[in-house]
Amino acid sequence: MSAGLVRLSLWRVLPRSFWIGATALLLVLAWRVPESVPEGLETVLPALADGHRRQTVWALALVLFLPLLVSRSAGLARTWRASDVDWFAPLPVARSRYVLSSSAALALAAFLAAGSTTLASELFAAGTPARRVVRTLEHPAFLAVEGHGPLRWSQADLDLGACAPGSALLLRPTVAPGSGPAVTVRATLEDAHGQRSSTEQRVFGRTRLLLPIPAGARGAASVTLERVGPGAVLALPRESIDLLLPSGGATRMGLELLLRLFLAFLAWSALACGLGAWMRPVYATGTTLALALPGGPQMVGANLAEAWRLAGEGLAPPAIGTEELLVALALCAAGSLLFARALGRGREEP
Amino acid sequence: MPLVLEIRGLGKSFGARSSLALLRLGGRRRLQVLAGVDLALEPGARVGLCGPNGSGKSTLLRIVAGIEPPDTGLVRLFGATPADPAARRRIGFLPEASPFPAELSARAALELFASLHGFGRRERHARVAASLERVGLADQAARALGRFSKGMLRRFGLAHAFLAEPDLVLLDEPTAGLDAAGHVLLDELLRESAARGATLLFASHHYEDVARHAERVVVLVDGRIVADGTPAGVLGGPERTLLEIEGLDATAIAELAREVARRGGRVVERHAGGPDLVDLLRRSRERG
Repeated sequence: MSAGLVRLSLWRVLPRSFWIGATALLLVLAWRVPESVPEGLETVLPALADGHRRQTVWALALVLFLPLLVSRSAGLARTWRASDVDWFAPLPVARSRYVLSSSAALALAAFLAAGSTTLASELFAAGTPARRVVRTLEHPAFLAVEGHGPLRWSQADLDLGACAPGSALLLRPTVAPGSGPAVTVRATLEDAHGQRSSTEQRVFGRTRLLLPIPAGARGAASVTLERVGPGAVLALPRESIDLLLPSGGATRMGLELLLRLFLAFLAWSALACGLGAWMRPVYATGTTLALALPGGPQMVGANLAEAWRLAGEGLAPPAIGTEELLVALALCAAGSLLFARALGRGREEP
Repeated sequence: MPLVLEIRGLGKSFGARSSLALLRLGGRRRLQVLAGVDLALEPGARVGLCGPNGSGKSTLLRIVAGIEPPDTGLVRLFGATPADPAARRRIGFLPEASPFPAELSARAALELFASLHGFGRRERHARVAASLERVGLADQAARALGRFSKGMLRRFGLAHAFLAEPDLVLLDEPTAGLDAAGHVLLDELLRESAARGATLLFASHHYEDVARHAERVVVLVDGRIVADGTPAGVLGGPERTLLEIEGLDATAIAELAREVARRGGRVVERHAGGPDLVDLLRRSRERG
């Protein structure tokens, strides 16, 4: 590998002025985002404001960095064939050095793009300890009309003693369509020894309702859901309760988001680089961006869309899985191999 | 004495671009660029490659420089293949176009080339500074290559080609885009490299370049060598001598022409450029 070659390829893939400008734009956006969160909403779910900021910053980062990284990476092989081969090939170094340096440059560019995004989204974060969805609980579905008594059930698949301090239940009740705009709900969690926690909230549409698990709670949990005053018909569909466990603090969440974003940028860039060596760069760019769009095979982008959705809800995405990691590494390897094979072909035309 | 360059039966063809090239569908026309080329260069030789556009001069140089792989035949560079880094360490190549990284400054680009050559930091700095000074670009060292004029890029290309004091200098159309001062610079660089005992192989369209720098001329037409010999033997013998006349007005030149005609000769006036290889090629084609 050559530091000079890495630098050359890095600024070709991610022009320095663009990177500085984009980072400044992301920082300004992250600074201004809290003003766009409806007043009082951040108190409902403390991590919501941070989640909103993350999602907004990520959205702009994807618009700014993704097309640039992919299209520039797809054009690397063309640059080699059009010019670099003429000065590099006569030098007393193997072409593999060019391939390695280009791959390292792609990794650095992906890291700089992901790093700028993470810096912007985390710099102004309140540092609220983030929680992560561990699993969705089994529970019956409920419908509560006006005058209906409290709904009470025992959550048999939940052992409160196994939950770390700071854990919580995330309920997603809603109102029945056509029954009114909203209803106030009180949720209560009680352990086998009578320790309880409670929360009360106005439910309009599908609303998140955070129910902390009391510190030192043990045994089976019983959950009570009751209407407070008049309002719409309250509904709790199946699979509407998630168990949240602490994810290790805001810093760790920032680092996990950085890793996921880095892997996605790197996998997409490497894929575009490899494809661009064997087809026109514009086709390679289009193919890669089609794979990167939400709804495509999510493993290709380190499951970024799902992580983005969870981050927007103020939740930490699940830690990156082995499968996602392997797919990203396989794409990097495939892209580098395609690129390396193409460099040995020489030119197609005199 | 071991040969610097040995080429035997060299052949190269290129595939025409096709939108279906990726899928390898449909017939792919092949364009034969070099066919059965044999060439041997001894240490210190100064050889000019001549030929019309598309005759294969650049492709031949690119194969020797290790840029293109040959289809058939044998290429030995200092007894090794052009892919051997030890052999490539001893060559300097000036490409026909100036494909240098436009993003880098002249100094940064030369530093990069020197580092890839394996020079240590101190030697690298010294060589780069000396090279830029030598080609008259010292005051432009910090300027991006993308902002260089064509002539400046040619000078930079010369700095790149001579950076490592190569034993074999490969120049593709070295005078293209050079001004008069650039020609003088090229003369000096070639003289210095000849004094070091370096071997020179260059391609050019221009008779003057070949006559000035080469002691041997190889003419390529349609990828084949059609003539190989001294400049006088290939480009014209004693019966066709080129004189440069300066300082005479039109009347004096007319009188000179009359005198030459009286003695049985003929004066061909060329005010710009000068005689080229067209006549030679016509004659070689007439000879078959």
